[in-house]
Amino acid sequence: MESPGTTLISQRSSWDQTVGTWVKAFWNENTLRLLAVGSAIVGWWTVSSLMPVDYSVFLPGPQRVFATIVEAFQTEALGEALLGALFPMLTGYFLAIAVGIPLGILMGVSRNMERCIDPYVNGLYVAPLSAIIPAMIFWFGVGFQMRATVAFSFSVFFITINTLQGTKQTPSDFVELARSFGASRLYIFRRIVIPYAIPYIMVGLRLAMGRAIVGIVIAELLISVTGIGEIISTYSSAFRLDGVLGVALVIMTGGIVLTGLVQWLENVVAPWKKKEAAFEEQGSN
Amino acid sequence: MKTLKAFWDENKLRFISLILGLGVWEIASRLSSSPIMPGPQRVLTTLVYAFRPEGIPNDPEQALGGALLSAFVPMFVAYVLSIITGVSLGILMGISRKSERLLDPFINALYVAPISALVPVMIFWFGLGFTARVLIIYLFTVFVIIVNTMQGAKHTPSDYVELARSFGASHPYIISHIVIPHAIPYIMVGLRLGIGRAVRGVVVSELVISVTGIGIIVSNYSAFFRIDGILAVAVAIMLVGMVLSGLVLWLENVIAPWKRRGTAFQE
Repeated sequence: MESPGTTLISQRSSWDQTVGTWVKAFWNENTLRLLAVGSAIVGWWTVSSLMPVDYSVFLPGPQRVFATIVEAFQTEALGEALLGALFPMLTGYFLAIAVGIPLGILMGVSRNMERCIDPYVNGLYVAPLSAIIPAMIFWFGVGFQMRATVAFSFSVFFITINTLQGTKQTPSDFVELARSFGASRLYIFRRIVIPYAIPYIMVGLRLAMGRAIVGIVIAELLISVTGIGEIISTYSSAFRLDGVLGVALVIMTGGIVLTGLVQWLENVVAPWKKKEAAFEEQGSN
Repeated sequence: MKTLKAFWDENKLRFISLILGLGVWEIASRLSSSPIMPGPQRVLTTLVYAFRPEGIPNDPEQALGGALLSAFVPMFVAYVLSIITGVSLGILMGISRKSERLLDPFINALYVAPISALVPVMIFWFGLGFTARVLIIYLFTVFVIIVNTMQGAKHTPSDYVELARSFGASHPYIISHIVIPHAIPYIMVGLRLGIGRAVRGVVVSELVISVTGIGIIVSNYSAFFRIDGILAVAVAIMLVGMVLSGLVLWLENVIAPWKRRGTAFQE
């Protein structure tokens, strides 16, 4: 039998070991990745500093772009513009969740409902919504309401279609088993159909977040009188690529972070069935 | 006869619901009689007129037909380019762990990031012409093709590869006879998702670069408060997009009829 002291030490050393292996595994896995990103940045910097002065406007170096991003946050109110895009986007996104999930479930549990609604859902799903943005500007103006509508309409059908698929794919064995033990419809719905649909719903939420971001970015680009669009057009009419590129990088990073958040949420809420769900996202099987 | 009846039973409710919906839309727009709420009949009439130059306000050089054609030429070029580069990069990343690690930080980032944000940058570099459009659409399509191809190449069952290797098959032989055939259904899914993205890329590039083609038609309609025109253009693009995805889907069924289940619904 070991004394408490040795247990503590052996625990600690095993913990150290765990950290050590983890660091090592991370390093083995990611050396090449870090190397690639690092050399891309160094390469960009080298090429841009070797550029002749006449052409340097076409390729500002990373340090220039970074400085311009900082400057844009301080003087051009980029932060404010980003928040002005983020709030309507999230409003539209949450509205899309509130509408999309119930709609998908409704369609999933009733065949007739599905038939009544799916021409619209599928039609609007394939419709080029960005082409309707100019019409939405007439309907809703260029403010909060219009942006929220764009985010909503871009994202809602992804949520509906994924929820529908998840609900429809509930194995009939489970449902029949529950029914033969006398479970009520409501019980089956709450305890079998919904839990089964959750991973699909989460995939829908993640894809929808990406779509909402795309929608809001296109709206911002088309409305060049306020917000991010205004900042971009100020920079491009001043022929400042560092500004245009900086804003683009900030938006893209924001998009990656938001999608990553939903992905994280997906792993927390529905860690099971991750493999299948991830596959469906690639659309491959 | 029997199939016809089955078709009717399956789709009866869909037709009824569509007709009801369109009817409500038409009646609502007639009752409101507001110019910003055109009904379906109005939109369809405008769509038909838009194929004649005189049907579009402000007299652009092209009617909708010509604008669509000239918009889909860069799309075709970009799509072919992204198939060539996307499939080769995807295979490379699928068979070599090292090249996957070198490339995937960029590819994953650009796959998730909103590409539309790069449109102003592309315009800055390449102007408003053909090159900028091709590149924008290329960026819209290529990553989904790379990612799907890579999945297919990566998931080649190692049994097959080992069997071939133990019979002395060379690397190129394994790639051309095992890895690529295994990846084909995945590649086809990538191509199908890619064509959808390409159409979106066309729309975004046309709308932002609104000096020619579809872009100028839409902004002319906007300038004259013609919502019906904007919606008609959207309907036209949607129809072309549906035909193109239908073509790719058909091609997918011809080339890779196996392993189709469960691929129908994403993105």
